[in-house]
Amino acid sequence: MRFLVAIAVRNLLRNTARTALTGAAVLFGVAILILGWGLVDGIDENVLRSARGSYAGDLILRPDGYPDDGMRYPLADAKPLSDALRARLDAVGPWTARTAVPARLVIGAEAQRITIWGVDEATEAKVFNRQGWVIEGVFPNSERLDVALGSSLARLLEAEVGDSVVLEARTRDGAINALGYTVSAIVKSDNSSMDALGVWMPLARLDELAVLQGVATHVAVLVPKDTATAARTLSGFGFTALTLAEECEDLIAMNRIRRKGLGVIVGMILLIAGAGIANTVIMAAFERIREIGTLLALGMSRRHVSLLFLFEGGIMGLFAGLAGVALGSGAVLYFQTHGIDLSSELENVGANMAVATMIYTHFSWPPIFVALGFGVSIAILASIWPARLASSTVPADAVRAD
Amino acid sequence: MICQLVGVKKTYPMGELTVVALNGIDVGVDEGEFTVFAGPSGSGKTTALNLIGCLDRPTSGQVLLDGRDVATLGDDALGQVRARRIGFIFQSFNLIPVLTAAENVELALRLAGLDKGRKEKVEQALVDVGLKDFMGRRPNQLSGGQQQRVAIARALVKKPAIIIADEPTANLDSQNGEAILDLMRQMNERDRITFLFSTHDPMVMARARRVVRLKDGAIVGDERLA
Repeated sequence: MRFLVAIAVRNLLRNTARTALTGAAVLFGVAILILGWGLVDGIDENVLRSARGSYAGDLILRPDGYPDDGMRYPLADAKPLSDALRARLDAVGPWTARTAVPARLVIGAEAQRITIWGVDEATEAKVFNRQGWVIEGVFPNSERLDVALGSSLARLLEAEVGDSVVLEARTRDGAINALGYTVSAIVKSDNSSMDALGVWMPLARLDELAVLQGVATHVAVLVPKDTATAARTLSGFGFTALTLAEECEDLIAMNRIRRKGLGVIVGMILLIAGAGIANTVIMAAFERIREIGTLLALGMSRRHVSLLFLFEGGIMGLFAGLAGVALGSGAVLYFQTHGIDLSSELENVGANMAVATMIYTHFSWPPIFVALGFGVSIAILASIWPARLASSTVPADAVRAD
Repeated sequence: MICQLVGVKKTYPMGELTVVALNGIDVGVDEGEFTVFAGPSGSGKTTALNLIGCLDRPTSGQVLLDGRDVATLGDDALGQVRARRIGFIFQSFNLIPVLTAAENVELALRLAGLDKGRKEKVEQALVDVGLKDFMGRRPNQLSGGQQQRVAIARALVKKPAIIIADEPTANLDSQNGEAILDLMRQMNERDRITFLFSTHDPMVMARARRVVRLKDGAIVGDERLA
């Protein structure tokens, strides 16, 4: 059998250009599958990371009936946190309350609809790494009339640290109020939606603008383990608790569709590769008809002749697949470290999609085994018919073939 | 008798026609013979060799090898007969291009299942045909004459009952052709290996000890030479 493998390898090396070209289709199919898989896994992770790090924590609580999708933040539906809920929250883990208020930001002659996020200065840093968001300036504190602007919003309005802005919002009672502020920081929260429309300020300052009356629209909680149990514990206080996975369910579901789409595309690439391999093996069978006849004349069984061609297809698939694994894994590992910056692509659509602006691919072993197995299987399957064709040769005719 | 064709007929379909390649011939070959099937193109000599070599099956009649009718054997059994009992030398040498001279010879031993002392046997076979220094060369690094010598070594190495050579000198110049015939004759005389080959070359016929003449699928002469 080893001798057969050796002959198969040498046969593949006879026409290296053709072998390489045929193998390239498998190579790219495998590489795309691994990279695509890593990217989709990465998007899943990034969706969760982005939501966790920018607004949700491990667990997010919203007032019962408060919308959990779209860009509506109705202050009228906000509720105060009861003492009982606060006690439960303290028992579960670090938490912080936020209040989102729809507003209008005016800078010079420009105006833009935005969302103000009122943050609790005492607890915010326990849940979110807000200092890590700041790319310029200092995050506002309650001693000054300062605000932080999302990076995409600042770019859109050409706003800079030190600029004056006016924020116009309705109070909880429906009155219109407006106050002037200074931009003290430009922040990038890694959440495209918040970076495109978000303005941050301390709750105390937001209370002056929107007269919150102590209500909250969001509570983010960090839960070390068993978020589902924690979610059950925190429900029933006028707030609904969602785990991070539940919160991001729609985006993750969209990703599942993407994954299936990727499978179809890669499947088609590999089928094309299979056709290429079948063509190459058939060409080889026709070109080497006299050799096949000679092998049969010397006593090689038809099964072994067939195996020889299957080995050729399989070895080609294996090596092309391994090269594809190297290429695909290399790309996944590169983007796992360096990431893919989608800020500019998401600038226009990001306001409606709460997704990460930096996508980091995710390396895992299953896609490698699946892609390699798929590539090699396609190569072997594509070789079956040509192999049968070759082994059915009549030796008396074949030994004299030109 | 090593092999025998008894009432063998072979026809080939060609479109709507049927071509008769052999028309019920009877011929036998004894051990140690150096016999040539001679005749013009289309006389049926190659077909006869193919049948004796178990490369093809007769339309009717018997092909006896060591007294056994091989025409009734299945593909795998025929392959085993070819691997163990028959050596082939082809007009176009038919070496496997990706294998070295030694590996080509070794291939015959592997397929015959003769694993004991394989390396030594390969070496000896190539020494016997004068290619001791060419063992590691691939066919495209050898001349036509050298390639045919490798083919002879490949046929001889497994010590078959009979070696079948289809126009073995047709693709060689006269000098190389004569050398190859000398070599085959030498093997025949030294080791009593039975050679059966085809030709239409008078020079080759002159070297044979027996000439079976075929014409239009029938034997028209069978003479033994000194």
